[in-house]
Amino acid sequence: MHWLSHWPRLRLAGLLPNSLVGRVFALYCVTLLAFVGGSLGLFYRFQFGVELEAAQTRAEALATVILPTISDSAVIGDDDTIARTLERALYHSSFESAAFIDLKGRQVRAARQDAPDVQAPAWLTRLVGERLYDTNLPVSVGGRDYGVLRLRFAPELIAGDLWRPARAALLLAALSLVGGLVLIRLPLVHWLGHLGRLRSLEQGLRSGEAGRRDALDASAPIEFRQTFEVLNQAAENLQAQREQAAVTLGAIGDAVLTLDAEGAVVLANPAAAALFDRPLPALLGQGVRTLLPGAFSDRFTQPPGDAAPLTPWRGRRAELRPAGGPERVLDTTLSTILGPDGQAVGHVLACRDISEQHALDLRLRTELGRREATLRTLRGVLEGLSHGGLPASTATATSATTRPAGEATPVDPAVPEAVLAWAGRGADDIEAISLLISGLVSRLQERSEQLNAIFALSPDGFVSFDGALGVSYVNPAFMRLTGLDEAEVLGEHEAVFVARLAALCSPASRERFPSFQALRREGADAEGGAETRRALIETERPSRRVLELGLRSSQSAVISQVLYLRDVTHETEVDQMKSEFLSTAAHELRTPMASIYGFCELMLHRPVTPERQREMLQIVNRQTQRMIAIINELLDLARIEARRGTDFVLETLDLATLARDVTGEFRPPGERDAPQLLGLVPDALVRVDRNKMHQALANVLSNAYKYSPAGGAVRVRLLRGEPAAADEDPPWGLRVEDSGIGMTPEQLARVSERFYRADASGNIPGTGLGMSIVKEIMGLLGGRLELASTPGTGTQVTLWLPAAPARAAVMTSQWGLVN
Amino acid sequence: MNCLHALRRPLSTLAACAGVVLATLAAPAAHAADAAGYRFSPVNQYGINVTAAYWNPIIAYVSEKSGVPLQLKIGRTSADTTAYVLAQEVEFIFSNHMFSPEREALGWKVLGRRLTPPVRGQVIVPADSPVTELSQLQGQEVAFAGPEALVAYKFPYAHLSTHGINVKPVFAGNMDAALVQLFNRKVAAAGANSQLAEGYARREGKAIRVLWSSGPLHDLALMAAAKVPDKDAKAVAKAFIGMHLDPRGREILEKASQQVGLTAEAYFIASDGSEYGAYRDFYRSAPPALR
Repeated sequence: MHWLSHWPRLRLAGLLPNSLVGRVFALYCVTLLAFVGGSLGLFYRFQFGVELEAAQTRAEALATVILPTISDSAVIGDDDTIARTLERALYHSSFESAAFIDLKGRQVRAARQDAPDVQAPAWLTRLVGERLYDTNLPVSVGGRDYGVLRLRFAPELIAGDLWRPARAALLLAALSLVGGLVLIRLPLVHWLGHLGRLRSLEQGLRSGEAGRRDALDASAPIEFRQTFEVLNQAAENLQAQREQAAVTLGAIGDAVLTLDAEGAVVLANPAAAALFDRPLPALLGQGVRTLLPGAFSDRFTQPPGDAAPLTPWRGRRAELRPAGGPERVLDTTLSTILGPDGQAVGHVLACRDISEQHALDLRLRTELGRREATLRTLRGVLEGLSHGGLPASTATATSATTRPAGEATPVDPAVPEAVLAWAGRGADDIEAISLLISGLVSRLQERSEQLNAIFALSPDGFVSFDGALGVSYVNPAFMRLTGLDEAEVLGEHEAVFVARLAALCSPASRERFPSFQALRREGADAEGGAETRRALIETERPSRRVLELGLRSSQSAVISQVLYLRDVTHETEVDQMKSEFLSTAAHELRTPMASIYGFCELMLHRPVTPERQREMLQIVNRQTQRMIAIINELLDLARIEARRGTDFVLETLDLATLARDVTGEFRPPGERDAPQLLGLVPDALVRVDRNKMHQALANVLSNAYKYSPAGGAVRVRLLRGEPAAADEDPPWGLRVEDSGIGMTPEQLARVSERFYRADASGNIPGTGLGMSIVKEIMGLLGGRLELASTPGTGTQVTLWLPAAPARAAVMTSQWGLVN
Repeated sequence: MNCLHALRRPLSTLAACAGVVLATLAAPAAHAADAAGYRFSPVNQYGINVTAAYWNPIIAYVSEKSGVPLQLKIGRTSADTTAYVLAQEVEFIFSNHMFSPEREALGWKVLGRRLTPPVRGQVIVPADSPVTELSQLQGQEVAFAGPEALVAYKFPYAHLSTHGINVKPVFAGNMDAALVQLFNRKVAAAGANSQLAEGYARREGKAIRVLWSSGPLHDLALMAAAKVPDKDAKAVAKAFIGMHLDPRGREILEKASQQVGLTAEAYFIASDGSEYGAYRDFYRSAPPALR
């Protein structure tokens, strides 16, 4: 298929004349023919259409002109007039015939008899005949039809008229073409004939006479003159370069031998004669294998020996031992000269004496061997440093390239490949060392980041001191605990640092501030496993804190000691609160116990009447009940605190119903009235533990009665509070109001403390734990305790609880059931 | 002129080229139509090429379907078909020129008609013409298809004459040629068959303004000469009338209608000629010169 696609081009190429003159001439002929022919064709195509249109228009006009006459004659049946009119219409017209056809098919017809002046070709006549249509006109008068007027064209006449100018035009075009061809041929041959001089130029180049100016005459086209000028100049340059090459070849220091295809010397430069220590003529004809056997040793040629063909090489080192002279090392390059058929027609052998460079290479290899040994030693040291610390992949890569340190470097100066391999191993060592260093650095960075993170995030303060006992590092926690800025303490000696720390403490603590010597001793003892005392200081600035200090000495030359500070403020406060609580509880328990003990002693050692004994036993019983009450409430409080509400059974309750239940079950002391319930509304839904809420409200009611010994109403009121946020429901509250002794603001502030009792007289019974329990319960239910009191007027205790999410609809509809 | 005009639009060019080929083939055959079958001459409404492109496939189908060989004979002008009738050179025609009392006496029978929206005789100008009223045409040249064109010439010219507007008629030969003159501004207005003017405007993308419009008229009628045997006339009529019911015939009709700007619903239905009362009325009332 490929040849098929090129077939027209091949055919065209076959038709092309061989000479440039012939081709230019052929191109001119084809172009002229195409343009003349195309223009003529287009013109006559247009003329053809115009002529036919005009003929058709003329026919219609003529028919319209003669129609009235024909019509009138048809009405009166005057066929003669019709015939004469039709004959006149045909005169000098392009019609073949004109006819009047009446409704019965009878015709009055006139036809031309004369032959056309010019006989057009049959195809043209046929074409014209196909394009022309008869002209028909109905002959009607007053709405009545009398027949048809028909004019029929004579195609041969119109075709003849068209053909006459066309024939003349074609003849003229042919003459123009021939004349043009003759006129163009002569100058074309003359001008392009100058190209023949190229042959003489080429001969001049061969004979070495190029450069002789061979100017064209002035009639030659300017392009040819410029081309020959350039060619002459190129020939001169070529000749000059040839002479320069000969001089250069003689001047260069490298030996250059031109060989024939078999390797015999055909040309040599003076340097070659000097290198091989022979006169130039003695070199000619010598085989290159004989002259330079080192370049054809077995390590270079395959097959070895003279049978190996000469193939190009570059950079082959060969030894040359001239008779009586020192051995020389040559760097040789063989290039092949290829003929037009691609076969080798000769070779060029260039030889450079590199004996000195070779000696330098040997020295360099020795030096590099020593450096490699040094690198290996360094690598061994680094591997020891990074033992077990490098990533697995790095360690594997390292071990793969590791060789025992001190291994002798296999240097073979005679073999260049060995040098390359040696250099490669050196590169491996450097890479391995780089990897080791990189691993060590990354490990150090990692550890540094870990330590920084630990010290930065630690809640304890750390201060490190350098070898001169100056502060070298403080962590953020230290700055936060002491309010001292890093810049204030860095570089300060430990004595100054201690003074700064002491300045933060209260005067009492400042006096007890431990010395660093004592801290160092304590630290040493602690490391030895001995019991040590805690060193505590109390700071006033930036806030009141209790800090525990510790000091650990180091054997490092960089860090001599590290001081740590731990915030034990809360721990200390808790310890203090425990002590106070134990003291209060013991005191509260000791009072009834002392009473019990005293009456028991009395009854044991003194005779008492039965009545008196009964009174005493009743006292013992009351005190025992009081102790049991205290212990029960303590246990209750401890349980609430320990479980933190996890044992609460939460349910949605109506607070009004709860208030009714609690007040209904509550038994007021003595004959006092039951609590009054006020403001109860349905749907006061809260989510609480029923029993705990019952307990809390009962405790508050109990206090209300106890602290209003003079009587007075106790009221329980249901309240709706203000929401804490706009999107929250308002809380519900139960307020217990009494008209009792009331409390001062100081008493009110301490009312929820354990064992605190507003009645200092002890006349009002109680454990002092009730309100603590109420506060705990309210806190765990998400509510809060609100207290308001005026001494001598009464107290208001409000239990606020968050409103439960809507179960309101159900609860509202079941209000009765909930009740 | 028509060829040059047709080259303006690719579709029209294709149609025109097909028409030229068909008309070239048909025209010599038409001259020698006496040899075999009947000759069918439709009024040249669109120009030879377009008219041939419309009728050739239809005539081929009807010939095959009816078994009655028909040959197309198209004249250069609208008057040619009437001339062929008067010279008794055709046996079937598609024309509306035969409803004058005198021509009805020739005995031509209506076989059917083309079902199209009603046609009207109109006086039209290009939409951007300064002429907006008929009175502005006084003394102006007005193009018509030909003196035989009933809807496109006689109706509008009779109206103009009746209203005292004397115009100079220019007969272009057929409707398309008249419209070409109108849009080339050779004439001030044109008398037109509304169907042909709308089809032309649709084909050529022209906009027209109607200055006057006649009452509705039926499209041209399929007619047969009195000498055609009744059997052949019925076979031809049946083929025409059933054409749109046959899928192949309908496809041919739709394609042919697209050529001339008719809608796909333009098909042939039966007719006894009684629907052409409006034409007959015209001949009774028209000025004598137009009868």
